[in-house]
Amino acid sequence: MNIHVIKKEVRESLYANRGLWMILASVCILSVLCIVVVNIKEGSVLAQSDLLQYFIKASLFITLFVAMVLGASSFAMEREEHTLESLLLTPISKLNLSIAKYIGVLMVGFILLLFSIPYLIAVGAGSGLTLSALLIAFFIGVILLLAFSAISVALSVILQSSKAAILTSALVLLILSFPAFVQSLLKQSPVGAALLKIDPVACCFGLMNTAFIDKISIFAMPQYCLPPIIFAVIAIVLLEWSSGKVALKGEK
Amino acid sequence: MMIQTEHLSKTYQNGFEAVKDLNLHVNNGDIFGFLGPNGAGKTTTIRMLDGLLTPTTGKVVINGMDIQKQPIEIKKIIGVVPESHGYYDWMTAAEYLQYFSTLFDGNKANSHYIGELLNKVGLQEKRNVPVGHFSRGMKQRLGIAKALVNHPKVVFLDEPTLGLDPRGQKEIQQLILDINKMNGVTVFITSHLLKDVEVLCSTVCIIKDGSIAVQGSIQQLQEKYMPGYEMLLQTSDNMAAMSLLLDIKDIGKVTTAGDYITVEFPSGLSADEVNSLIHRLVAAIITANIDIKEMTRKTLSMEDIFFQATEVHRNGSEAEQ
Repeated sequence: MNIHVIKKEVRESLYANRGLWMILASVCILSVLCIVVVNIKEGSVLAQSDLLQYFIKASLFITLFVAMVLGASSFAMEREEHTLESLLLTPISKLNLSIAKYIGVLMVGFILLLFSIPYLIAVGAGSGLTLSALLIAFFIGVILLLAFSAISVALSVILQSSKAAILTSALVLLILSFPAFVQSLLKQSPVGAALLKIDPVACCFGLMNTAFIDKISIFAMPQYCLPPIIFAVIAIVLLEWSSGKVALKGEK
Repeated sequence: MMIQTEHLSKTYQNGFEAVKDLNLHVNNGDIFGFLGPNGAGKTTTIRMLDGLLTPTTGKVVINGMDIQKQPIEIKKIIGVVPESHGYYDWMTAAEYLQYFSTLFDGNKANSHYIGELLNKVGLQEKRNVPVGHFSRGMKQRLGIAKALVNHPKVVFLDEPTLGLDPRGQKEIQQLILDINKMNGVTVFITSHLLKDVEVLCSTVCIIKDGSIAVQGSIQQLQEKYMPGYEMLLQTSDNMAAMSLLLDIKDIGKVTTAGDYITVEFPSGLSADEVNSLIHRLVAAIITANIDIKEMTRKTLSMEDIFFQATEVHRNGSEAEQ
């Protein structure tokens, strides 16, 4: 792992590339969402825990989306802007390069997770769930971030263009998140219920729901914890495999 | 021997044979010119030499190390300026060099050496300017500085003067000569600009369709493509001079073209024999009271050699087919 590549990736994401604009846009969206949720909370019939869950889901989705776009552009953009050749000519191994880029994307994701803390505090104020909301959001946020960022960096290596890598990453995020947003519908059929048990995003949201409502420790729910952890491990293995495929455009 | 290839070949997945059975020999400290028309396999060869591409068959040895067996060690002793070279436009020139220096070294960059490099390429005053604001020539100079951050023994330059104006070309040429002379670095250079090669290179290899058409020093190539000694002569009375020359025994072929008489001495003559013939030729003309206005030795330019080599090679290939 090369600390200099990680530093460069974070710097590039934060103030030299589209990352800065995406972070700013994310903060704006979170601010608007926060204002809307806080206003709804005052006259809402919805339980405060439901509103908190909606907000966590939205902020996680935004974080994952930004991380995936950055991850998908990591190698593809270097390839398109002809900077990858110089990197490959240094003694750093392709695996080290992939890991450094992955960590760079994770760092930006963590920064976004940190940005959502004040909003969570504002939304959770008075509910008595703020601390557990923060812990759960951080726990599932980290697992999903580890998994989706690894997938997007791997796609960036495998697919030749940044457009293809970003679109495919977004598609992966949408497909894997979709069951989580239509849980009540899927629960009605046995196939749907089975799908919900293995879908990492649905499991994370199930974990959050159970922890909020039943006040059960997240570590006491392996049926919800295992699928996202296994998914993250598979994603990291995919990243490790793809690192061997890092090559210049048209030369695979 | 700094660079050596043995039967190096590369066939891409689509079946295109970019390089065929290439045997290169580059001596330590040489400036080696690697020429060829578009699509001849120059960039593919450079990418195999610097380890970016795996050869289909054959072997690359750099400074005694096999690139397949010791790729990391070789990357530590080479510097490369690729043909289509991208830069991180948001970094300053100094940051760019520091970044690559740390990638080679692993430690904090040596800012004194970075300053020296920027000075060498004439970018010291621009050290804190983002690379995105640089002209093409400045970027190219920065690229050369980047290729030197790891104190390389060999530098590969793929079309280093491509797209530069004459002043930019001249600056890069001077920089390459400096690197070679002052640092003793072996330089492997590809260029479309034959003038570059003529000015810079001690040894040249011309490839065509992935195979070597000709290889050797510029003098050897001149001798190969113009085996005899040719002289251009302009006199006050070319007709009379020509009839005198035709009477000289063993002088070879005498022809006129425009205002000049061309004398092609027979091939295989020693330098003394050529000098003796020149003395006889001059004496005959002066004795006849004919003034010699101009007398020069005809030499082949790199361009002549390039065209002849690639044309001969093409004809040879077509004949084989």
